[in-house]
Amino acid sequence: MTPRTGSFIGRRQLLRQAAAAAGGAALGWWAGGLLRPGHGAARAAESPVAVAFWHGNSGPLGNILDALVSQFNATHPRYQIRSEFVGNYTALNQKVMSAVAAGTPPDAAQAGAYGAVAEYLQENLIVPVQKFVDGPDGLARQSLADIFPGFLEDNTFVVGGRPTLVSWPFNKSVMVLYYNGTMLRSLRLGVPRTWDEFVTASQRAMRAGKVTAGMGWTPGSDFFAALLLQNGGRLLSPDARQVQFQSDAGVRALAFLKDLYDRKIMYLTKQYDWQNDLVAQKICFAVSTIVSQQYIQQDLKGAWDLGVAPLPAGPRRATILFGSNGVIFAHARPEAQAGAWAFFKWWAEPQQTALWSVQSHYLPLRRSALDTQIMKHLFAQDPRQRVALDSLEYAHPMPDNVAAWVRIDPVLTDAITKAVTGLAAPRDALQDAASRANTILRG
Amino acid sequence: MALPASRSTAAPSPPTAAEAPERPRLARARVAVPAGLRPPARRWTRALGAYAYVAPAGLLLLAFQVYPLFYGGYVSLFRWGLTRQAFLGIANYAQVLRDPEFWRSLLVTVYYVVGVVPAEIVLGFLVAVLLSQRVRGRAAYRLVYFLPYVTSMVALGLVWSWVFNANFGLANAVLRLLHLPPQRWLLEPRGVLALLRGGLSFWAGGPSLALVCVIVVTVWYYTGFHAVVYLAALAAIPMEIHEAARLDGARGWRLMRSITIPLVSPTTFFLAVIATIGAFQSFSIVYTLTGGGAAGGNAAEAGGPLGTTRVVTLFIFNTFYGEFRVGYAMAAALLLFVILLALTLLQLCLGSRRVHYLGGAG
Repeated sequence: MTPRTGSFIGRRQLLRQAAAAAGGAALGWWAGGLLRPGHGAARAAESPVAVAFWHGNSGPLGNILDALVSQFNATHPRYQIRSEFVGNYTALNQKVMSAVAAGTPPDAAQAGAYGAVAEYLQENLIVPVQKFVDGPDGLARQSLADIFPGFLEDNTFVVGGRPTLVSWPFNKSVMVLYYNGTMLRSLRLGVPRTWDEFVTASQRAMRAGKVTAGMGWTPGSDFFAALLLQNGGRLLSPDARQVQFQSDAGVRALAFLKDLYDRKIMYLTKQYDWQNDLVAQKICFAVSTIVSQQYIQQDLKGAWDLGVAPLPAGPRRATILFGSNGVIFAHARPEAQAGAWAFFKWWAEPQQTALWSVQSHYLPLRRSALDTQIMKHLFAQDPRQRVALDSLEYAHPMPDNVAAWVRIDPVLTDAITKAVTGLAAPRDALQDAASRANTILRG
Repeated sequence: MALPASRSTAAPSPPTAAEAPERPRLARARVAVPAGLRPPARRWTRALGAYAYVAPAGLLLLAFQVYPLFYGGYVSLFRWGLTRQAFLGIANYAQVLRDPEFWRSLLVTVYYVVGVVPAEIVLGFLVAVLLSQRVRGRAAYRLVYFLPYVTSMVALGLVWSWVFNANFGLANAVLRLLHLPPQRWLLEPRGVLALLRGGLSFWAGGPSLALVCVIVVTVWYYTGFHAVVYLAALAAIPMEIHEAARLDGARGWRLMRSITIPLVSPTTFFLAVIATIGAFQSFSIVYTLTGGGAAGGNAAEAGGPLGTTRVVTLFIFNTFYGEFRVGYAMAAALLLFVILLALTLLQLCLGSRRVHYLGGAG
């Protein structure tokens, strides 16, 4: 062992002195920070408020979103939006669930369909954006009225007995009809505007041996809902206390789907198989959201002309809105919440929403975006892009703002499948589903 | 079975004359001191060493198996959506037991287990018997049978869903070649008995054709694994026993029934237990084949058509992630755990009487 002399210190003594020096330095730094006037504010000005934003847009859509986020960050030095792709809407919901359980949700997120916003609201996890809309950095009534009404309807929930804007429209789309333009032209067929014309065109294409069926469809409640609305029905009563899809309008809508299936004009598929079948020209029509265009075009590689048309009309016109909305989490620091709101507000401004729409095929959020140069240019180049916008006037959202809908939706989908495949009569299937759905609604 | 003498004791080397005085001391040093007579400090050191060895695995088990199990039990006692709400006691359990969807998913699971486990074991054994023969290219055959097991289950699920595509799949192409009517395979909710005979009600028709497709894919996936385990068991049967039986005149099926099958029964028992547990917990393959995982798809879609492939794990998953009913899903998960535990104990109880251990008491 080294003898202890004047010029050597022991290990313990060395550690003690090092700890004392470090403590002193930390104290001095802290005290210095306190004594320097305006130092905290200066630091805040230097480092922008970080806002974690989770989303579900991958691939080309994610790149477009990230580019817009960079643009926001460059023009808003107070905030730094950190966008993070966390998977599709289902995965996004799952990750938010896990993060909430761990006490670390993001500051803001896209909330996909399937009742996510309703669930977050029910558990007080989010701050209704109405607070920010009405706040000092809010929106003028005129600006709010510029947003398409269906998008506001989709995000409005009853909170404390009052309709309240809870989430903010983010990436919105609408159900349209896709068709094989090349094939229809070769058969001298026009684009169907009604379901009768759709049936005739499908049968002509099938008889000509061009396709196996008119369309392929993966059973779901949204297409049924569009037909229900076209027949004058509703999914839920206005007070959302009971379902109304079992009405005569619902039976007519379901009988029509069954008829398409029985006449082999429509066959059933799984997941997105119909998309592959359309590209492979096994069918000539498909019903889906306007954003599917991006994926179909990608697979098509210009082999034939993809047409987009409004959903054919029944006794009246109606279609369905899709897409996700933005939410701001309650646990976030007030400055992060303010940053998230600043981003959402900026996102919905005419230039940004037009840019997002042109690049992604999602819909612009407000009417005035249609007057921007970039959208006018798009419409001049590709008139198909107007189709979805024209549908907006009669588009309605699915009732995802009712928390119980997430459990009712599979019940309704099962009833639709049963009726279409002949396992139950349409009226019986809907009555049975309605009875179960009303039990769920009663809690 | 007795070990050879050379492995049970070390043969002492003859002492030299120089070593002779040291013998008593060496002999004393070799005597094992009973644990209770060792100094306490040494016992602690040895114990600490042992704990240190088991700590990594033990901590992982505690963190990812035991803790979640107990925490799941805690969560199941509450109305729990995304966060904890009201305390419900055992109400979630009572509600799960009254839920027809839970019982339906349990019935689907039973169909699945009954369809999968015996088929995997029988096919695995037959493949192992074939692969244990001396044939040219035996290693290649073994690789081919084992290949599905080391391939991504999700990728295989997607490929098989193309094979079973109702409109343009390979399975229907084969049926057309045989002049048989095409089927809707994974989209067919009707039971196979109802399809064969007709006139049977929806649930009395047996497992849906969609579930049978899932069973076929599962069996195809796991047969290779079972075959490899059986191959090891077959290789462990001493040749003398087979030779002695042959000398006694046993041949072919008699040899298989009286010698091979009884002597691989511990392996059969082991495979039956793990295959049953695995089939009850099956998730990925059912999820991939029956509609889950589509971009933007609803979690609650998996298990179709009409819930006829919704096994219990999918019911739990849908309730948890699709409906945000975490407490309820936890109660269902723990009930599945109890069912599995009871079933495994029953298997141990019944199976151990019929298992023949080589050289053991039976």
